[in-house]
Amino acid sequence: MGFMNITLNQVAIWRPAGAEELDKRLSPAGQTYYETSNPVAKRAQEPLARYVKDYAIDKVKFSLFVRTALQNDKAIEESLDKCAKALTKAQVLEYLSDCQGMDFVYLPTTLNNKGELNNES
Amino acid sequence: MSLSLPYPNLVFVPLDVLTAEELNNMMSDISFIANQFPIASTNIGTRAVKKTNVDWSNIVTKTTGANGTVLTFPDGFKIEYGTVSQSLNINTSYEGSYFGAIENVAFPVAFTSTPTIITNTFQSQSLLSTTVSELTASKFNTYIWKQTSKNGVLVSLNWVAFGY
Repeated sequence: MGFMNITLNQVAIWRPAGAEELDKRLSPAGQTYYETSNPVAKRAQEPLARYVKDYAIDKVKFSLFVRTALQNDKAIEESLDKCAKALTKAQVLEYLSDCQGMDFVYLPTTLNNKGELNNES
Repeated sequence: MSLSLPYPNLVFVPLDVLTAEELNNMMSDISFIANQFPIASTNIGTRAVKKTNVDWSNIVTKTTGANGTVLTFPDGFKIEYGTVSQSLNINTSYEGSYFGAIENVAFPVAFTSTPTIITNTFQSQSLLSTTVSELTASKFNTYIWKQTSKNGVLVSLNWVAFGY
């Protein structure tokens, strides 16, 4: 099992998480995280939110999740929906093949400071 | 046997910080499973996952090929099967002459070369509207077939070919 870090605002894919609707979870302050542009670890001074939602493409089930300091539920759900819509079944199967155990895969998709998808992703 | 965990429908994502209550729930689920399926028992091997719960459409794809049905497995292994048949007026003049070379074949039979019964009867003599040319291709390494004869005349052939 690989060791995975928390990267803020970067969407990740994993096996179904049991969240048919958007699931939000606040973690206590003090979590160690990384920013996409900065390789130095930081310690969260405020609670971080984890959003997750399950999707399916042709019976292939998967979940998308993101950890962020933002708490804009609606915008983040829309972003996850858009991200899921842009994925193909072949891509999902490829990603899921790397999701053994607790391993997940970060997608190149990131959120901006409003919870929307960044243009380049 | 239908089972339900004490705490089903837990939403979990890697790196989630678990509370003490969630750890308790998790242990409750684990102990339930452990008590229902002791390692020494055979329940896991025979009952835990029913074959009806496996989504075979994601494992084996079924398509219609030129000569019959094709099952393709994830590693590329293929099984083709089908039936070739002809309708002839059974005439005694055919018996023993035109089809005299037909040999009776026991089922199942596996072999590595193209069966003479197929080339001679179905292709050279062209008595069938459907050919089994796919069978003669070298991509399959094993064939099995079963023939049905009537008054010595071959009327149908059920065949299976498999290989990479």
